[in-house]
Amino acid sequence: MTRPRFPRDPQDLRGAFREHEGPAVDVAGLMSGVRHRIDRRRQRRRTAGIVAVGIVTALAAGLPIVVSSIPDQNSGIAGGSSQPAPTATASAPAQDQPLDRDALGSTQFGFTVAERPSDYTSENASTGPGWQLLRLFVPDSVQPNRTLDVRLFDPVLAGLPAPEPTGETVTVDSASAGQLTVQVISLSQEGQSYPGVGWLTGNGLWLTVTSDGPADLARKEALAVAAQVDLEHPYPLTFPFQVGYVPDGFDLVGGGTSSPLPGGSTYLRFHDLSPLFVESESALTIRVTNQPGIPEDAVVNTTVGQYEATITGDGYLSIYNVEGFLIDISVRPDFVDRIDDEQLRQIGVRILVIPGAATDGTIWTDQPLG
Amino acid sequence: MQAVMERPYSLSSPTQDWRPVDFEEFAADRLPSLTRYATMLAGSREVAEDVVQDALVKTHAKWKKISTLDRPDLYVKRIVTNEFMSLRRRRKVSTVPLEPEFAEVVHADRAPSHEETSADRDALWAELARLPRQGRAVLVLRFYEGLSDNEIAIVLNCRPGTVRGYGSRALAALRIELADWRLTAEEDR
Repeated sequence: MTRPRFPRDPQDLRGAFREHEGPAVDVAGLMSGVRHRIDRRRQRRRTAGIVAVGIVTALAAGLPIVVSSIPDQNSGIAGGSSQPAPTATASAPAQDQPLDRDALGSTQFGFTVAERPSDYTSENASTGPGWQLLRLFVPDSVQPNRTLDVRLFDPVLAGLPAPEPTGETVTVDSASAGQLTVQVISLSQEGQSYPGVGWLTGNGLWLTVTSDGPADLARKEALAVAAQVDLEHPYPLTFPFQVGYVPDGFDLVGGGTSSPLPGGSTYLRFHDLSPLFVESESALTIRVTNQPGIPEDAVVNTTVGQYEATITGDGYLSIYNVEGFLIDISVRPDFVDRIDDEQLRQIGVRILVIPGAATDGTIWTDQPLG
Repeated sequence: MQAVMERPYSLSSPTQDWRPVDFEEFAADRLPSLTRYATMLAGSREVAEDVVQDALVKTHAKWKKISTLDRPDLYVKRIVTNEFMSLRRRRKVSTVPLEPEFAEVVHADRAPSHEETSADRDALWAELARLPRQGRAVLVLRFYEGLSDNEIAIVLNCRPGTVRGYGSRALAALRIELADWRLTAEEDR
């Protein structure tokens, strides 16, 4: 066998790269694939959560709940099982006033929809920097994945295109605001325009209702939903867990819930809010999915407390079967030098999961930061 | 907070004059170089094509913003790199070395034959596949793409010092001798 000569020099490396460049790149074929994936992504984003069954309602005022922590035997961070479980008190919505624009990006939701369309089946709610989205699924025989999106957002903060008014206005009988004049608009999302209606709220945010259905139906549905939007009664998203620790420099920028029970997923997203970052994708995501057991393809290589877990060494920690939930903590690759494995463990052991929350959404908390 | 990085590139460099206006034009123009770059990262053309297509889908979603950046090429390279770093993170990565481990060392006391050089490059390629992904990315960006530490730092979203750390460890693992890491970028220019 021929053996390599050591030490090597950089020319060896350059040579190895050149020898493995492969054949000429098929630009036309790859571009076709890119276009296909863009179409598929649009479709997927609309169909996400189609099986969801509705968002958990707010907790009863003052209902105390006990949450269980994950004591870590490996890092010794959060004490052993003999320690008393931390306690969190779930509270009623902290405010009943219109959402302040500074609250965009928290897990407070700035509006409610008093009455859903009759053909509504399910919904997702999510928040991010400068935006909040309630996606209502209204399938029909022609478009089984048809959705109505209700957004509250600041186009600049959210980095989203502003709605484009057509010049037409319509007055609707609002359930909460009396006579409400809305503008007929189109809203651009990922290169596509969606018809709908919108108006500027008192605090300078856009509230839009758009549809991916046929134009005539979209207009009718958007007007009907617009009449049901209530901006006076914000409410908090609720979660089956609390996060007790994230590294310095990362702030909560949003969260979401795709469905409460069963099989639902909730998440919180954190990011470094340095103005240098132009990406909207967050640096750290903590996702808690209603999924008991250990996934078949999981490679268990550690434990976090009493729970089996996978830590990949490159910014990913999964903890299995915690009170019936799968906990995934992921760090975007370009942030792994700022959130190392030890910090991932610290985040993991300080997550508090509410016992019984896998089967009882009424005990979820509206205070996800412990 | 993230340390503010000094912009490392010359404003008079040719790329500064290039302003993409259309996503399709940008993507078609950059596909060959991005695919070759991803091939170096992933070690497989098939995986590379998958990575680049996914990265361009994400680029498309943010094109309005990306197209206004001073160096959209570096930003897109960052997306490609992130896609590579995220590959199969929860599962075992099955990397099959092209050659078995080399246990013995042959010292360079004579010029290697063509066969020996070729075999060593194959061996080196297999060893590259076993490096930590950040280290591999740094070596590809430096020795294949010819980027400086500061440019690599932008692509990997880390500090130049971190780049040097990844690079030095990766070179040591491959038993590549380099007098001064910083000089290699200048050699390439």
